[in-house]
Amino acid sequence: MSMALSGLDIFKLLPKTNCGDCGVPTCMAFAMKLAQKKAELSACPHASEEAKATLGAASEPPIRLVKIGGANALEVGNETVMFRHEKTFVHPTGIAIELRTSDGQAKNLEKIRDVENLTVERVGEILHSDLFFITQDSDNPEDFVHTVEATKQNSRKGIILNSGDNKALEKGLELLKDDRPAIFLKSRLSEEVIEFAKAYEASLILTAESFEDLGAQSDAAKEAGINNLILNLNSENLGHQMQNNAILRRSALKQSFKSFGHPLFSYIKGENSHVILARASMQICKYGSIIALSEYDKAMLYTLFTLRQNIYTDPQRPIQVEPKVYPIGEPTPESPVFVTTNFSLTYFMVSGEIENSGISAHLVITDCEGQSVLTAWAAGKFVGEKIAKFIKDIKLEEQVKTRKIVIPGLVSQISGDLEENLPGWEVIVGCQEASDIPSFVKNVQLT
Amino acid sequence: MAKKSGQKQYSLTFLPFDISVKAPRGAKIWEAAKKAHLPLRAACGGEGTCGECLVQIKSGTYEAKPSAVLSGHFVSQGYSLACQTDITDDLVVVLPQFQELLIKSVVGSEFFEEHKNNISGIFEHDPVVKSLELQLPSPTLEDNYSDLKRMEREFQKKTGMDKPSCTYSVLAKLAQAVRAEHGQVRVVYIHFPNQATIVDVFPVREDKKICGVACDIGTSTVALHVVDLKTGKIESTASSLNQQIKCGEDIISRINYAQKHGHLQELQELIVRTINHLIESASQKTRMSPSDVYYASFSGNTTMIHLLLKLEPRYIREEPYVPTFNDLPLIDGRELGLNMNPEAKIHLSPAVGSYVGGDITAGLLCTPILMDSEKTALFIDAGTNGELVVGNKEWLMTCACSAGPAFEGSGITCGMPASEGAIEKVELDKSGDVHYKVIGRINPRGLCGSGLVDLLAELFIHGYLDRHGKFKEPKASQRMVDSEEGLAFVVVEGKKSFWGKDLILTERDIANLIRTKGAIYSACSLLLKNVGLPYDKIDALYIAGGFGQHLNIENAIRIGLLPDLERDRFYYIGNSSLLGAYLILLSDKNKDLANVIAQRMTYVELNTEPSYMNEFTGSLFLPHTDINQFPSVKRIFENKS
Repeated sequence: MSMALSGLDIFKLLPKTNCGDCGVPTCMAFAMKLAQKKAELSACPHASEEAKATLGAASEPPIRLVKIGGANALEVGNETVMFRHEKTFVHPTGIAIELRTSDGQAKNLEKIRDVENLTVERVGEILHSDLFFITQDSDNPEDFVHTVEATKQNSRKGIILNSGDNKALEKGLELLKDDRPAIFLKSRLSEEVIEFAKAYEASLILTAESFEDLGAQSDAAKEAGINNLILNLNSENLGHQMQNNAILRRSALKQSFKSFGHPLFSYIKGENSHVILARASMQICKYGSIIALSEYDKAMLYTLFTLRQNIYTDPQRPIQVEPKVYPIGEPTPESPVFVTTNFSLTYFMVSGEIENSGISAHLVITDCEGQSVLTAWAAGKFVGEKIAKFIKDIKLEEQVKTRKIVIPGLVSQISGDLEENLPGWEVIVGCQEASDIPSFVKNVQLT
Repeated sequence: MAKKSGQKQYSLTFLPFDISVKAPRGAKIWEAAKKAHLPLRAACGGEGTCGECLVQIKSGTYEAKPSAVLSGHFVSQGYSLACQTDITDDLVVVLPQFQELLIKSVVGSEFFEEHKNNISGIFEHDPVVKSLELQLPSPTLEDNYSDLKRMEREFQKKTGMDKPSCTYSVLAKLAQAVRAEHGQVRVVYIHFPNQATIVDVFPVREDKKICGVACDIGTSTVALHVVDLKTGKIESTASSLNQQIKCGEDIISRINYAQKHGHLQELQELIVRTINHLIESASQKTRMSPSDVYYASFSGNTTMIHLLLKLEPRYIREEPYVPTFNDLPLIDGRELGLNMNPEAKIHLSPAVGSYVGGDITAGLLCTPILMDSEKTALFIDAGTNGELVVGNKEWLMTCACSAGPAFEGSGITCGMPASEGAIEKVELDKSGDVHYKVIGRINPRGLCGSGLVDLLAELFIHGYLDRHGKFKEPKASQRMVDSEEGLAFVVVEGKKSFWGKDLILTERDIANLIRTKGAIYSACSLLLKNVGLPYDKIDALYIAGGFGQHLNIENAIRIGLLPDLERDRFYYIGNSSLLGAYLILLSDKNKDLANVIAQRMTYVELNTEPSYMNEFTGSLFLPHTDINQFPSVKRIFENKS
């Protein structure tokens, strides 16, 4: 068991010749790329056998990436941190909707189509569910096969098969030959299922009641050559589930405990939709990789989509707002004009403070790739020429009557440049901090 | 200013910039300075109340309104407030805000003096420019070889080298030189591998000096040594503000400024003028003349070198941040308009990239960082643009951060460079009295970087400041005053200061200092995180920069500028860029070493590092939002409560 190697640890294993044959100028730079998993050791033609052995083991991701589905497969796993703020969570929790054979074909078909149509757009992203979880709870194995068939015909989402009947299971797998399905195991791992998984390239969702058993099954599956595993540690108690998930994630990341280095699965049921929502939310927040929902409830799904998007948004990437003119309050063509960058925090602070000041205004947001005012200025993205071009492109002069524009006080340097590029406009240097906008607008003639 | 008919125009010359403008009779000096784009500060906006726009009028008559902030003692010396003075004559005006040009600055380094034989650079005297006495046999009708041939022959005989090449200027004076003293001449030659070029020849009795110049071209300040190349000794030193500051205080502003037509030319002229002034003032202190300078070794950040060479700098700041060049062959001083011997060659320290320049490769020569492959060192150059290097003999990683010129004294009400009159050390005692030490024997004019670090730490430790860097209101002290910029601390009372007015530190100043130290500390943290090295694995830290002669490490840690490690791991090395340039001047081997360093360094771009903002924001506290990173500071406050 070893911790993830740092750039320096890896450097010590490299030839230290700075030959540049790997495409990176120095061995240290290459080592750092390896540490960040942005490069492969095979790029170095001079790596020693020792380096290959040590790095090979260390470069394996601590939590395995597993794919379910065909062309647009769901990817889960590959997580590297315990907490979102440490870096980012990589693969959003996959949400599976359960189809039960006992509900009858007609009802299931309607459900499949309904689920397929359920998408929602939020902050520029299309949100939807990802998988179907097909459970055989009727006696006739053909029901199961028919449901799988209907799903495959009407949806491109990945499929998890849940049947205690190996014959039905095999038929289902046969139908999904090229679709990378997953097999959910209600009971312990069997030889037959191992053969299925091998033959049909299916992932296995292992179920256990204890850490020991889960580890033993995981090791056994890997021994048999199956690596695409997903872990399901059963517990009725929500608190225990959360604790278990944390222990599993911690063992994989911090102790490099390979038996637990896999995505986590949970089947969500409960006496009412509130309980289901609570359980599902916990899984999304705390390390659940796939949740299978026993109930299909649109309102609940919207809630879960939103939560999932919030948790899995990369906190490292600046959130941008769309470059355009935003009305603050109820501006008229005579209202003053402010300009700033499209870093979302900048936008929210400036728009909020203009609102606080009690005036209405036009807020021009230019495209600065989500950078804040000074950063964008330093990178040449928030400068006179570019701001002027944007104002001309959006035909601001047709929308407003005023010919004065307020720029952030931190970039007073650009005022001359902007005036030069915007003939007919007067540039007013605003305050440095957004919080001073209310007093600024009282003291300065803005139009 | 429209010219009205009948209104007489006068010419104003501003020193030390040597810039002239025309202004009508009755206009204020302050208006003329603005017209010349000189960044004359005045907190009161030209009301005559702050006293900041102080000027000294060297020649010409003027009419000044009396001001309460200017004592009679100053008025009698020709001092006046630019905003209160009417122009009635041609004037020569000195701007004391920029007077450091004329005052000896602190550039020496105790570290270098003590460790010069144990650093990465080689401390030996073997310059590329050498001189040699030759006795040319007198020509006869039989031995009627040309003067040049005879000089070449003797040169080859004496040095064992191949036939030297020879510059036109040598040919032009050769006939006279060889005949002045019966063939006894001294030749000056530049010794490249396998090839020598003779660049000067003169009769032996002329006993000309053969000098070199080592120069650090900083964004804010420029410093140079004039070195006697025969002995390798530093003959004299001069430093000044970079005259380009009138075009913007930081690199980005300069690059922006250069974008307009004619501005790149102006920037180039300003830096050349700054260097020429320095060469002149340094040579006045010795027997040498600028034409004795045959070789110069310059180090500077990539932008400064681009501007010196009049190269388009804009791509330095635009993604993917690519400079025009990193290393260059020797160039001719005369092509740049430098005031040196016309044959002088200029060496520019090699850069690593857009934001890590030759000042850093030169600076590393002055540290032992390349001596050991086990021990790891961290090098911090806390200039206007902060640069960091971590590594050892085997690997070097580097990054840059925009720190701002606060520790060089810019942008701080009472700040100034480390030159005469600067407070370099500050202590507060329990009764609230301020004790300080001034450079030189005059009343304090301001605080240099080391004094500001002390002051900030002392104010924090003695409870004047909270961790956000705001004054604690209840701490009623006679030292606290209400200034135009809010609460301020009086460091030196008016009656004891050079200017006759209080030297104060405002909350805005403190915020500025905190931003600067935060930028440096957070960049260190991030660089080490990138490498995968915790702070305590750093065996030695070398701190360079324009703080002054000394830097109180304890106080630098208390404010969170430097990490909280054992104090004996820290070394303050002063202006390492200048010293590195000096080492390169002394021996060509250091030139090769600098190239090796530049090639070995790997540059990390913090701009693309999303967590930089987090690290930086966490550093905007005294000493840091996470006090556990500074256990020794934590203990001080625990013991108090």
